[in-house]
Amino acid sequence: MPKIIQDLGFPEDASAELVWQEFPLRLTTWRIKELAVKQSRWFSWHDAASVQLPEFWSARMILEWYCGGANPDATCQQFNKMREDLGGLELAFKCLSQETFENAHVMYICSEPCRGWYSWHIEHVKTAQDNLRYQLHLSRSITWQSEWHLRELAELLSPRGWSKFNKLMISVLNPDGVAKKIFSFVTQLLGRRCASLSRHSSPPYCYVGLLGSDMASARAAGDLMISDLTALLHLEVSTMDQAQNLAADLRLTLDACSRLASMLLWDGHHEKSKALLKALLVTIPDSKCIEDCHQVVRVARKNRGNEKMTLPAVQYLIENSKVLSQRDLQHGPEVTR
Amino acid sequence: MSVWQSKMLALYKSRAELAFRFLNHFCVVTDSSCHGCKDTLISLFYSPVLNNCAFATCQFMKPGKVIQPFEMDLDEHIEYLAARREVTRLHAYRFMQAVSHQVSQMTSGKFCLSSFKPPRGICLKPLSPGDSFEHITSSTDNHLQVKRGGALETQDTACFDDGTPVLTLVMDQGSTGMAAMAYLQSLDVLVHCSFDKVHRCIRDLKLASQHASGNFGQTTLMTSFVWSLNYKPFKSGAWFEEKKCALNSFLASETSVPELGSWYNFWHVMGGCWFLCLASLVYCCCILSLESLGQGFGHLQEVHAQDHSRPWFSRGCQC
Repeated sequence: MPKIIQDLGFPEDASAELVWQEFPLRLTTWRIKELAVKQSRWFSWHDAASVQLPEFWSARMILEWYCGGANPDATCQQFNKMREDLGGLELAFKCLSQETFENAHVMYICSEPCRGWYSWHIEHVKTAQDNLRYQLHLSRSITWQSEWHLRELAELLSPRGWSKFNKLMISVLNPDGVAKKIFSFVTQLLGRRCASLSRHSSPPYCYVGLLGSDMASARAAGDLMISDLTALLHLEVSTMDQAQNLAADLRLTLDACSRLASMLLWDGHHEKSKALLKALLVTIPDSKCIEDCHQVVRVARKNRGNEKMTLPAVQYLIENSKVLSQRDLQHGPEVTR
Repeated sequence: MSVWQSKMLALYKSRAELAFRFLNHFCVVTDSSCHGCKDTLISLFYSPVLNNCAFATCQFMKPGKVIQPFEMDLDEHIEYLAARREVTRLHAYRFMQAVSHQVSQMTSGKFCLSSFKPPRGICLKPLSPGDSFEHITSSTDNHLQVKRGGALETQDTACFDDGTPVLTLVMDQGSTGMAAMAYLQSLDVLVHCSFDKVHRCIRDLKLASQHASGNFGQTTLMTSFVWSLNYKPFKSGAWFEEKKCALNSFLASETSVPELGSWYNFWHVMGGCWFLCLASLVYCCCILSLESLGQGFGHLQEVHAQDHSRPWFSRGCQC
């Protein structure tokens, strides 16, 4: 089946007449502007990819007809080098090589679990209480190692997950080379996600059980707090080689606050320890609300032309934005009219 | 900015101060971005006790790596470094200044960043090699006793109460925030720094594409260019118009009727089906003049030569 028919979702037995009539209507980005890729906007590339990837071969066909010239598969070079000589649609045509097609699909498919993880968190972990519930869930029901998006990532390398690449593999010229790329990308991403999520195994996040209602988890967290502190103290007073380096590394996570929380618990001040731990762990889950505030200001600035954006104007915009209400966060000082 | 808007800002500030004045445990989510050429720090204060949020007054952070004379009050040895332009991490310092000012404003001057010290009876400084510690347990009181440099210290944790200020800073994991965290940790103050999980995820994706084998970095550059073409150059959208013209010209010039246009060749003949090429050739022989046949044959020869280099026509069986 020709790639255009496959990409644009036509039936395999579609006639040339039908495809000819229908295919311009399915080329969305040739009729409307759609999204641009913005480096600073989260998952902007992936949003654009979901619209643009199905039009890859159609775009290449039209641009080849329009621009002519050599085949991009043979002439595609480093982007900055090509940019010195070319621009506009000619440069776009040169970029649409088979390698670009394969790599873009690999990146898009392999990033999907992370995109899903992001969407899930934005939708479900909005408030500080949600954040605490999620951390308790990670400490009690599952651990971060079995977090679903990590499993989905790992599954991409299994026979079941491999089916997601079936459609891509039909269109590639060198399946072994693409398989190597997939393996390399997934293992790189999986390793980095594990490193990032491993903070749930380090203080103070691993002590979250103390804030839950489950007595067994609370006891286990308490024991861990005291054993971590004693281990660190033993390292600090040790004169053994490398002990100080190890202690300095441990202090990156077992900072002054966690240290005090452990000391309070060791001395039997359970409620005080819990109050301190609550101050450390019951927090706004992410800084997206601040990013959204910046976006509100950016959008407002576009409508003002050359008018200067003063600090009171910025303040007024963020205080009257709907950013907090969208995240279900209580905004006590809000002035209603 | 109208008078009424200014009044609303003043009202908001007084209401926020009223809510946070008597609190001691805060979570501050903070991030800066450029607005009107100025680096503006926006911070959101959250209290786990009240379960309520308030925006702090935005702060403009001065750029640059040089401290001007009399710009700020400095220790003598820092002044010496500033005069020689040897100060480093100035942006992180200005970030901490801005956060400190926001904390001060929100708590009506009760706290600033240097207020988050542990209570007087507690020393959270790390022990040194050769020091010793012992946990004393009795029926009335438990406490940690440390021998630091020969001097005996008792950690009186009982003096920690709800009045002890604790700050949790949630930031993106940038160089400024990391430097601020390292400095605050070295002071052993009760400021806990946490990094945003979404920024971390985005960075993981970016690093994976940079380090995985397969030229993914170049692909990101190329696809970002091609997929933003509709807004280029310089957000004018001129290339989008050219794209539309290209599509219209293509549709006007080509046809789906096999014998009349190269569209058919694009679609079917170059799909690797050699028998179709032959059939088309025979068909052409029947209906076209010898001259046009010659042209068509030449074209098809070219088509065959490019067959493997035109992957949109390749079929699934190739794999």
